[in-house]
Amino acid sequence: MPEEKKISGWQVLMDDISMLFLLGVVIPTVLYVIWGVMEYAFAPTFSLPPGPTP
Amino acid sequence: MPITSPEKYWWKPADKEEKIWISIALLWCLVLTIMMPLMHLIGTQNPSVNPMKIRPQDYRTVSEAFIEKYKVGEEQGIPVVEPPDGADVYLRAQMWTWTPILKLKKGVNYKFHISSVDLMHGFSLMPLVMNFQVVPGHDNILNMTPTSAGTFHIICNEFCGIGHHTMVGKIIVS
Amino acid sequence: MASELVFRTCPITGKKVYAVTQNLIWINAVTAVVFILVGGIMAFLVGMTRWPAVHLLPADLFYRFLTAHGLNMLIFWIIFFEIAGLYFGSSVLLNSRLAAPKVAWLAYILMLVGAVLVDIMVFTGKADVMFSSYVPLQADPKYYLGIILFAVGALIGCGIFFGTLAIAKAEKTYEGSVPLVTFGLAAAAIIAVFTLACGAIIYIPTFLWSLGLITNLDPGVYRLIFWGMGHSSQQINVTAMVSIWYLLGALTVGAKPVNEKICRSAFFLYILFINLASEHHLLTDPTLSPYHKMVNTSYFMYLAVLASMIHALAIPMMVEVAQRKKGFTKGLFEWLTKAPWGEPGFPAMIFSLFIFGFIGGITGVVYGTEQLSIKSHNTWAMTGHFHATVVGGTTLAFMGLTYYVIPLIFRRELIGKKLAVVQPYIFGIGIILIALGMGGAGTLGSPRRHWDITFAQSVIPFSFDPAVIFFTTIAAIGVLTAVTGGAMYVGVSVLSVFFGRKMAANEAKLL
Repeated sequence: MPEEKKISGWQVLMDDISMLFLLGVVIPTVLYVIWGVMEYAFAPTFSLPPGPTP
Repeated sequence: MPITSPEKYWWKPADKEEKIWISIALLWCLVLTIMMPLMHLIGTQNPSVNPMKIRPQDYRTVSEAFIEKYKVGEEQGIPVVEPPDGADVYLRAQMWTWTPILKLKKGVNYKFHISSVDLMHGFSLMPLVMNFQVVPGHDNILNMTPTSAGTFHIICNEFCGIGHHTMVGKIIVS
Repeated sequence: MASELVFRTCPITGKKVYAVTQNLIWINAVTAVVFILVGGIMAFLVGMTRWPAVHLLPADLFYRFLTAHGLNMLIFWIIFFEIAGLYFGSSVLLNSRLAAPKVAWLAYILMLVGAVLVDIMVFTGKADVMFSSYVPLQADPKYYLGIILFAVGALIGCGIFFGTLAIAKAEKTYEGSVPLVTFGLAAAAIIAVFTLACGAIIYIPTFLWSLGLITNLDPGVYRLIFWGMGHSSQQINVTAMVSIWYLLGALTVGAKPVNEKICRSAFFLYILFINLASEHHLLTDPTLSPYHKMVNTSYFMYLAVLASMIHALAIPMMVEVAQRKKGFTKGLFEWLTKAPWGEPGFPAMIFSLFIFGFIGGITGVVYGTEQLSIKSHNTWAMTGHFHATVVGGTTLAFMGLTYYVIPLIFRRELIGKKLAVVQPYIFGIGIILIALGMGGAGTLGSPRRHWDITFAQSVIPFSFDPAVIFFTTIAAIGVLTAVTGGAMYVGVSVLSVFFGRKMAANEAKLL
């Protein structure tokens, strides 16, 4: 048995499936879905000038 | 083996060959990333940058007014329209026509408004093969300048029902 | 509950195979093959209609069968197979009992009912809406309901996978980290959760809209969230496929990953960024800003592409190392020329890697650039791209794996081994022809989802460059070739599963 050394933080992160799950769902949800829906929601809407149509 | 658990400490430095390959690939990825904003600055062909929603009934009203104002004739029941230089041009997609037929001038810039009054359609300018999604409720605003004279066709490349394959429009540039 | 704990020990890998897991893998995989059969028949009919020389179907049937082809292949075949893969990757590879087998059966039934409902709606002409079913084109409410049921079932399947990982960890059935293939499948399952969640977010309101309970559903927002499901479901495939490449490398030449860190980091990048690529469908859309387009279409600075480039190095490298250890060290390429080309798994893996990387991957990165998308959006070149990735890549890898799953998990000897050996070659060549033919015709402007590229019924006459017909013919020859390969796959796997010789408990024979 070799002497105990510290397991790299990256290795610990990649063994932590629930943390990976969180990152994997949050990143596309924020960057793609939420940002995209906000752009659609806040885009200006064309309005016809008042009065009879030209 | 990839089907058994790895050794206890597997976070180990990569070999030189691996590092070279990954560095080259990363560099290439960065070049690709930079190209897109760069083309917005120095390029002349970019997708729409002006967001605008438009109700299908409003779009119909505006495009009808455009056709009435600049109509110069009719071809097989489809109006032929010749807008003045630099005008706003409305190209309406609906099952299964592109209305109107446009007569444009070479070297003149036009502001295209492409939208649909029913389903999703696909604007595909032939033979140049330039394609834009046509979404009802949204105005695809594109600044276009014809750079060569001739007859161009617009085909529909988004499924829009049983007559989809008959949907052809026309732009004549003189 | 004792019946849930019955297992046998695999004489080849030494893994525990629980009976309940084996049954669930069996039913999901066999169902997948039924759907590839349906989708394959549709492929033949649709492909022969696109070819102007034959122009087989009338327009209405063409669009109907094209809808069926997309759904049966892209969704039903692949996700049933992936669910089987997830149960294999968790329960078998980790030597663990499966979490809640009864719930896993419920997931299967939900998926099956959903898939059958969708197929009934499509084939009876109540859902001629294509795979993408863009609002405001409307299908029968039962169509959307079917998709929702299927997605919920698949989501439960992913839950079973994560539950099994948790059980294996708690019961210490393995030491340290999970095996690389399991890690890759976990990445696929994480990607699947985002995918199926997007499906739920968009299909539930669409279902209510089809019932008339909601009136305004923005077509642009529909496209945004639909592709969060539609494209990401192909990212599940990519990730599962890469895991299977590692698995096939181990099964065919005994390869082991050269550097676990590199391979796992690449899967990590997939988890973080690959789902952003859904934006590729929206690049020529109005309203969305260039910022949203650039950040997402670049997979966040192409880091998910970097991941694929890493796998493209790591997999051939581990094969080379394994082969050189066996003594194939002459020259630069003896390791490759002396590889087991006569075993189905190896050519399936190499063809899959080549077609996915060199045809599907490169076209994907090119077409998925904001400005270049103008040249390819909605053309047949796009269809060529995803046939290279999903069919040449994923489906071919799954086919190769099937020939090992049958003896390893189902304990049946293959019937028609010679057919199984040539099948990946025939299928691979067919897909290459399809991808190149579609790519060529599409680059010249030939549209996707189009019944008549001669425009015979148009009011305004139009005809393509004659080269389009030439490329379409190449694609059609590819369709005939690939359909032959596909039929061989279905034939060999169905015959073997049902009529193959039952192997003895200690029989350690693979092929």
